[in-house]
Amino acid sequence: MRVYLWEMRKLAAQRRTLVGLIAAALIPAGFAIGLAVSPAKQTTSIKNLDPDNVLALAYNSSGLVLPFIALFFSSLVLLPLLAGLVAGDIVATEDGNQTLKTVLTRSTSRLRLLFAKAAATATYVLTVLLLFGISGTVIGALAAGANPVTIGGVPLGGGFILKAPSISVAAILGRLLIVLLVYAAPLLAVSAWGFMLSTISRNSAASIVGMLVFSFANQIIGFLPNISTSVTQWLLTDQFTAWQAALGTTIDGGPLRHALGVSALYAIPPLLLSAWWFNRRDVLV
Amino acid sequence: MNQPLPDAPAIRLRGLRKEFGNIVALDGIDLTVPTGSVFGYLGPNGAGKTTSLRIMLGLIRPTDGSAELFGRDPVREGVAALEGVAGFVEAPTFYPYLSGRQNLHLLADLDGGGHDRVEEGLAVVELADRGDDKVGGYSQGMRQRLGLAGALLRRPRLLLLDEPTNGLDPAGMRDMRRLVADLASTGLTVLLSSHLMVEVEQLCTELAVIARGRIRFAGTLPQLRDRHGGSGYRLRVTDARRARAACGDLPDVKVSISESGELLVDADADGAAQLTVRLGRAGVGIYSMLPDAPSLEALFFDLTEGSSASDDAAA
Repeated sequence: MRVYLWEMRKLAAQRRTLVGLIAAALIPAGFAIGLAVSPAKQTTSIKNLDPDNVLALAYNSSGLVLPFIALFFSSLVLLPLLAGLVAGDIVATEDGNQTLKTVLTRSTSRLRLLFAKAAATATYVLTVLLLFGISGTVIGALAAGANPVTIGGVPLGGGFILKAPSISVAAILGRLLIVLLVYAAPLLAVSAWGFMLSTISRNSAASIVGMLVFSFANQIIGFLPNISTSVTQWLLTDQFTAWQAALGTTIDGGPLRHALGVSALYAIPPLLLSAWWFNRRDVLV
Repeated sequence: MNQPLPDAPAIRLRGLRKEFGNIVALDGIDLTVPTGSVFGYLGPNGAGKTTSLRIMLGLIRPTDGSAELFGRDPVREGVAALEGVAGFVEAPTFYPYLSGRQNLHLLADLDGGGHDRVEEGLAVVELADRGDDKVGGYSQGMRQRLGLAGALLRRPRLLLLDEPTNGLDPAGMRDMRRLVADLASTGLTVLLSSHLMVEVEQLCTELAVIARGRIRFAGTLPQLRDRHGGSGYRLRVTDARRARAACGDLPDVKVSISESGELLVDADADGAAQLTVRLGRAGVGIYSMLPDAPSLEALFFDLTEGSSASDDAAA
């Protein structure tokens, strides 16, 4: 526990961590400004609306949908980038600072140290999402009011239907929590790959870019034509959009549980490989 | 869990070999460092000193052979084998965004406690006043001293120091050497890696010379001098010719005059003593009398660059 707490203190003392957390809090503000400048207008048949349009229209009646709008547009690049700032750096920076030789000659084993770093990375990623959600909710409430969310009868794509006539303030906040937890699963999974790249490559920039490419590749598959759902459901592709299942008339737990399970399957191998590599590697710097 | 063996030497290297691709950094090193000694590990840059220390501290794995500290092997036992062992390789490094004091507390936690020794360590290395400054603003000398403080947190019985005066100005070097000498006087075993002969001469009771991944010599300084000859003396006297004439009949004493007019005497200690008495009786004054041994620097170069360095069967 003490090793984990030191990893957290080290993260807190680093500028890039603060940049990531501040950016997470500011992203929803950007969307609030965009929607204030150019409010969503219902110009086509509601049946043809995309999920982002539905959410944007709902923002006219309640600011509490702002975090969902921000998540919809940030899930592809922005949030993985913020996660990558730490996941891709946390081990590689020890090589950069040449501090591995300092900490690995103490009484803490390599695996324990790596486990603490993985736990600290997960804590940071969850904190980013929490700040993102809190900031989005507060900014949305201040900008467009904290009213019940009224949206209904709208296909959200991927088989999900958003047709709750009115979702109470408490319920939408609860759903936001569920949404963030479900989205956290694939984000943590790609972070595990960034963590592995950080451990093996010993290069922060390469690891962050590599993690982003991996995340982007997983998500872009969903946009390709003729890719069967039977394939994408076992990739991280579908898990990145699974959170939308929490916005129906009732919460559809199936896709949410599936997202958690598949994400875990994707997270475990890179973590195991990281541990094996870190435990055996020569520390030459 | 294995315990340190009471009779085991502080360090024992057996057939230690390390390859990096096609490069052989260590080529079968055998070395024993007895407990309680201040042992110099001398060699030019790239000789294999730091690689040896990295293996001893468990940072890298040997290609072959073993390194044991008090009978325990860091490769087999991991950090448990480093119980009672501390040190650093190359320049000690810390988290630049944390203060010196925070860095030491971090290291104490990695050791499972010992926070009470943080202030003591800072005081020993005279950094108590700067302990709250971020390490990023420390000079090289301050980092070296902080490295020593970090090592002392572990209350070590064996201290492995890799060129601790590297990058320091003369005053910093003097202070660091004084610190090491003070620590050694407490009974600590110290392995001091260095490429500075004068440092080893000042601090160490025994030494090993390494070059190109092989041990070229291991023993004491007198043994090193004896091995490379030089059992004579060099005298500056008031009259060299009279001096030679006065001492020509002394048994087991050979006297000659150098081109610079110095008296070169080949004799053991007793012979040299008789010679001084004879010179006094003959009314020849002695300005100076010095052992005519090769300088340690010359011995070092001979071992690391001379014919010995290419001798596969050396030491």
